Amino acid sequence: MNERISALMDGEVDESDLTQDLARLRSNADLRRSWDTYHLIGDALRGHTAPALASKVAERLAAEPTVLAPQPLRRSPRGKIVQRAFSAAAGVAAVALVAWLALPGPAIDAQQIAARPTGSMLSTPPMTAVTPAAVDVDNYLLAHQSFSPKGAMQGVAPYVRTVSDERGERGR
Amino acid sequence: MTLLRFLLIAGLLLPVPVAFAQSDPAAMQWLQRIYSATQKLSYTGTFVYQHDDQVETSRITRMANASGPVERLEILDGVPREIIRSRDQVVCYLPSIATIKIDKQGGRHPFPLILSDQLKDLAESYVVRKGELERVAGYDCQVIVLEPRDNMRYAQRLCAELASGMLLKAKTLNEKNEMLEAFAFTQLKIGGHIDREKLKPRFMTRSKDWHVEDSEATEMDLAQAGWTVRSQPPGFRKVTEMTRTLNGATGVGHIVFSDGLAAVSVFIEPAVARNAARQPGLSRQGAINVFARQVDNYWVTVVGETPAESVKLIANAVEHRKP
Repeated sequence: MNERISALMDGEVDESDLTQDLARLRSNADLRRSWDTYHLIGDALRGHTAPALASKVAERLAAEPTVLAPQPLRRSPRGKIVQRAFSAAAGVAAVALVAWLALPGPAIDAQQIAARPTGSMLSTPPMTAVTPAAVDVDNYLLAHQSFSPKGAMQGVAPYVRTVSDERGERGR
Repeated sequence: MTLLRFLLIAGLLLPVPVAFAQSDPAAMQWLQRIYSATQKLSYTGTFVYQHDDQVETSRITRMANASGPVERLEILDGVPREIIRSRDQVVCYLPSIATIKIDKQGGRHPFPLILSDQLKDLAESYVVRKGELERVAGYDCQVIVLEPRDNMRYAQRLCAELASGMLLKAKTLNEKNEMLEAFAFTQLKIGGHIDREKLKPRFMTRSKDWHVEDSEATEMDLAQAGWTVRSQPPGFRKVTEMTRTLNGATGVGHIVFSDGLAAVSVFIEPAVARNAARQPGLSRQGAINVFARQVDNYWVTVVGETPAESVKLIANAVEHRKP
């Protein structure tokens, strides 16, 4: 069935088979996971995701020893470097691919691969940047905290949230 | 087939997996174990709280006894601060501003009384499954993953100690799988003798003449005062509503919604000179989003450990009809 998914992704499925294939995808969680993973791999290879991969490739390249041997004149040294860059990149990408495919993990593993490497580039700016000065968020958090079922799993620990805010205000 | 049609179908398919997936009953049982462990255990340990680019260390001591548990949280980094929670109240000692804030629960503490309902709600909004085994603070723990079925809540990755079920690590992740905040024990002793002295606030004697702010929370039907929330995100339902003293104003409305895991609070307070400089809009700290808007002559502030979409949706559904 994985070949079918691949064909589906490439738009190589006949109209007549399409309905059946899509129904299978809809009813089978494993297939949908493969579908997601295939897209993720495609995106990664096209450079649409995982900036960590690009930086790792750069690191590996920097670490590669430079061979100081005479070169035939017909091949320029520049060409050689480019070629090496490609082969090294392909090598790293292949290792990464094998790692993905070899891990029979559930869907979240694929998401983790796609995740950005740090938590610092979040979509909404942190509170310190946007909080209007007149609002003491602490008071709201203190009142809110005891109603959170998730907080109830953690005992008193989540009350630490109200603390970090005050520290932020004093630091400003 | 045309590329456009293919993309349309692909777009419809992608959100499907989590929306229709089933929770693993064994993972649900683990959640139940975590809740009852939180109620029963005595422990003492150190944990880190991480959000945005900050990491803070705190010491926590909990003693479960016949008259109900007592917990003490002591912040070890930055401005000293202490929180003592007993069965029916939370007391915050804030030496930097010589203030004690008291929030009385008034016997309306919602947990674990509604636990089974709560878990049922939770399973409608999240797919719960077991992950791998991990090791945290020297203990082996079981990973439990809660994936949201829509974009109205965050994903959670929990790790519960194998023998006791105690929660050792909790991470909140957004839709891009970026970590918003994390709690993790770095050192922990579960059970054993807990010295009563360790539960006494350090600022007890110093705080005799500090300013005291009591929340005076009282259950109340706010619809009688003309306040209703027209609609809420799928899976969320109203848990309770009350009035309380907040930011120096008495009778502030407080309505709580929950999906069984995350909670969202709506606060309604009069717009007065003291808060005239307030700006409407969104702000965020770790996994907490806050959205404020003015309705008539009131400030509506919505606070929740949910994505911005949820707090905004609830804030914009708040209606005031003059009684």
